[in-house]
Amino acid sequence: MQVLRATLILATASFLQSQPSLAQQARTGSVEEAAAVRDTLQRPPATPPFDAYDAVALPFRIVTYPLKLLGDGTAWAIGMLTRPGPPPPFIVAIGDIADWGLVPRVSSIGPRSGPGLQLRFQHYEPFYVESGLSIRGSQRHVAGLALDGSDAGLHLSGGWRRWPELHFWGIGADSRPQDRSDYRWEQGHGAVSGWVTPARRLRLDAATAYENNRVATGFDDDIPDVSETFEPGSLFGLDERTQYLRFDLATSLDFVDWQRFQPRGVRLRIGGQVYRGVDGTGSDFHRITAELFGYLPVTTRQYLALRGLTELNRADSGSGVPFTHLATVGGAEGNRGFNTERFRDRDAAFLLSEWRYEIWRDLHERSRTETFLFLDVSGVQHTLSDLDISDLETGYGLGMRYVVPPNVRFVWYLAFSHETTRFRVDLSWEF
Amino acid sequence: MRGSTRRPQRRVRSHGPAAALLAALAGAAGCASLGPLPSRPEPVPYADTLPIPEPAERDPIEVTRLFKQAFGAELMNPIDLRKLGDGRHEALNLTHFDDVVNSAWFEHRNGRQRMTPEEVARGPATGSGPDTSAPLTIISGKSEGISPGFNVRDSRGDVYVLKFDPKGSLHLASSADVVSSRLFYAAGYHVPEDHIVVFDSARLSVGPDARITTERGRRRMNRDDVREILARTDTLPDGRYLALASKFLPGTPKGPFFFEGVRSDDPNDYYHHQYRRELRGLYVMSAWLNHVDMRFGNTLDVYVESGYLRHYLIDFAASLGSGTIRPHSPREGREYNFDLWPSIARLVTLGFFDMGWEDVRPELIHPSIGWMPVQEYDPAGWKANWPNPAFSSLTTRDGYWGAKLVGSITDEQIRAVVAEARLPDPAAADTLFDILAYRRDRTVAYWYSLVTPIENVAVEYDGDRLADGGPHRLVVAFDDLGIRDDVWTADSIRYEWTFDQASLRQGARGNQAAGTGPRQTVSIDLPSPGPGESPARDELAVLKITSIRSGARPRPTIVYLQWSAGDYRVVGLEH
Repeated sequence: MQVLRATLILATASFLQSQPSLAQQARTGSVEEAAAVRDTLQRPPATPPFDAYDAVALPFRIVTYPLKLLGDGTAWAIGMLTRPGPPPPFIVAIGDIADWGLVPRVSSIGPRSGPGLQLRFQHYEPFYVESGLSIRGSQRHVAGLALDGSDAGLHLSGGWRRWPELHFWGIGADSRPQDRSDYRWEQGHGAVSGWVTPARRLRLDAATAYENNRVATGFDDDIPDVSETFEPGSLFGLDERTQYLRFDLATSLDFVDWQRFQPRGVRLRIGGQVYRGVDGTGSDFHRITAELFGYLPVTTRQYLALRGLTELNRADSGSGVPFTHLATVGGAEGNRGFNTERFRDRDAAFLLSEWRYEIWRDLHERSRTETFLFLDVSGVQHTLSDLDISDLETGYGLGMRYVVPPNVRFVWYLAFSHETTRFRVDLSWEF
Repeated sequence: MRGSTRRPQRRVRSHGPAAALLAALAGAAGCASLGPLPSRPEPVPYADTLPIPEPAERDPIEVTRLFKQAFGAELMNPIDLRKLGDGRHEALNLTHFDDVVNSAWFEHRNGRQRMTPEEVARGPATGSGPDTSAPLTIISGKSEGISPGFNVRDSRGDVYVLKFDPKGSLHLASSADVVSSRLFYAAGYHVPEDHIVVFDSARLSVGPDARITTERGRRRMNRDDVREILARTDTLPDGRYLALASKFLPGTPKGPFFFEGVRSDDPNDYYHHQYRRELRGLYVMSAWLNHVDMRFGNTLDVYVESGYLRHYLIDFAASLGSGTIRPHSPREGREYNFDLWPSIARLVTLGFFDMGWEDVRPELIHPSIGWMPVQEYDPAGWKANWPNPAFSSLTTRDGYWGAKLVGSITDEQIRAVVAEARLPDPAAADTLFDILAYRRDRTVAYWYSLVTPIENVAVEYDGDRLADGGPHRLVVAFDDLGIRDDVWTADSIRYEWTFDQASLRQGARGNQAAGTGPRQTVSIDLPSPGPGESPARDELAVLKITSIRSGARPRPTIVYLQWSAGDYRVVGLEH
């Protein structure tokens, strides 16, 4: 039957099909004549007929249409952001100003600062003046001299900074989440520091600094101030201004190399800081930190990253270590499943571990996107040797990072713990 | 070098309810189809060259469109029932013989009438490139982006785009462009005139009105800009510069064409592009030549003097072993730049899923050739850098059509084209030839193995005894392209056929072994019509021929025959 039907259609088509010569003749005619010819052409259909596949797919198309809109909107936004052509005039102006010596930068300005804008004036290099303000009111103002060579550097600086929304839960591993209070920490400082690399993988840092610390009322009205939570005189560093001379010494052994997109090797940093109270500050203490970074490749696309840190603070005399200078873990420093500086005590230790693997690579192999699963374990104690399994806190989660070796340009992660869930975005990442 | 490489036809094997659904859909889709090819009107040759009002130039946001395809279309891929059930629509602009007509998109060249090697090597060129014996006046420049260069006017008044090879890879992009553009031209596509040109930088002068596009915008061009652009390439040993000179196309450029939909301001643009055979079959040519950058950004609609839009393919620097600014990486041709599903697979498998290219350590074939897969080349698994709607719509028939274009290119033609690339080392030229020939043979072998590749069908009917009710015979002669192109040998083939015609009481079935040579004949004893019956005038008969090779049963070729005035004539062919 189909053959018969086709035969009839074929016969009819053969009779009607007399257009080719007309079309060719009309090619040199006018647009109007061409339109008239075009209307008479017998041609196969321009699109296929609606069939059973289309009918079955229709409900799927309707249901997924919002997803399609989202995808199209995202594609449009990416296209607008990356459209070739000269940048907008204000971007050109910012570039010109930066070239002249006033450089803007968006970054964090310390713990719990949120994103901030920093402006660095360096027209008269090596002298610089830098100021920054964050959305939470953190401030940082510093002026100095930076002399950096390939094997050594010397920095002189002086400034003032404020972190207005720091949180404090008390001291010890058993501090309770509901005991959160906030405070403001302001610090004036001056420092002379230097670094030298006597060998390719060895670096020595030394510094002498002066600190003037003051704790005051925090800006967060939703959280009780630390002065409301603690009796006057019960927490060293809360009521009194503390001033210290600080002496730093650190050494780093860096055996980390980048092979295409992967760091490989280990990096060890050991440092010590000695604080001597001045101008009526009745405390002296010292701090020792040891930090290890390890990157263990599994394949060219997968590797294990580890970061471990131990910090010990010991009072040498007087009132001991002010609470502002105690070791802390929580947030990006120590345990991502918990809030920033959640746990505090004299001693702290943590281990961050990540399973990182590539999910996408740039066409020109200049960058890649990695996903990582992480497990953070941390603990604080008055004395680290007393640290018990029950004192350890665990956080875990997953995230993604965009890497342009050797820098991380963008990272986000979702972290979980028994206490909270956190989502963070950062534009850089040291680990 | 040619050999038989058979792959099973790709089909999704499913069971139970899913299989039943797909089978039902396939059946239902068949009922809604357009009918056999001879029953439809044929496309009109050059119908798309009728005069149209001059369209405006369009400048689409390329990244937006690419991301829509990369995410939107790819997201739906795994649940695309049409693909799962092998129910893709066939191309629509087909003649009764499963081919296309000449048009503003494509003109039959080497596939129809074998070109001489010199003609293939010349390509679309009407001259020998810019006149470098006289000053070249720079009329505009571009220092941003990955391919800096300038536009120059020579002493004859012709305008060329000059593009340079990346530092450390002299000849890489320019040779790839020259070779690929000529092969695309020989296949039938419209391409610009591209030449390798060597010149002394002293010949360059900056025109008084020359402007350059930089990262900061457009401004007047000066001699420092020229030096900066030239500093980004290497010189030849004698200190001269080598560049790819692409002649401005005759007419007014009107922006790219897309691989789906139609252009709304072109009344001639009738078939939706994802249903055009030329654009679908372009996949096979692109895979052969490893042209991973086949996207709408490398196409151009030009409003020609006759008043219509002609559709060109441009910019072939990212073909063969060249990635334009560097040799190709193993990832190119295997995965899209943003390939959604492999990324998701890696995500959920913690990075253990791999596509096979990740650990390939490419060894540069030659600095002037770059790198491309040879043994690993997969003619049907190849991917451009960005999803292409026409490529995604490719069917087996489209692939076979494209493979015929590839298979029409002879060794002599490849050698002649490679010579045009002016590679610095004869060994590199030989290697490039070997690679192209090998990939050609793999391409042809793959697509031919999926069909019964017979062409040029002729029939001879002996019906002397029909009036007596006696048997009558049909002798069918055809070219077996698989034998012709050395994909397989005749002694490995049997032809099976079925013949059906309404007026005959029963159909004919049979088989026979292939004879020698590419021209084959099959003799069919046709059953007689019933008593008092005779075939109706213009009645259509359907002959299906399947070439069985080593036990494999590919798609049959359907030959449509029309009974007219006591004889049969071939009126259609469908693969």
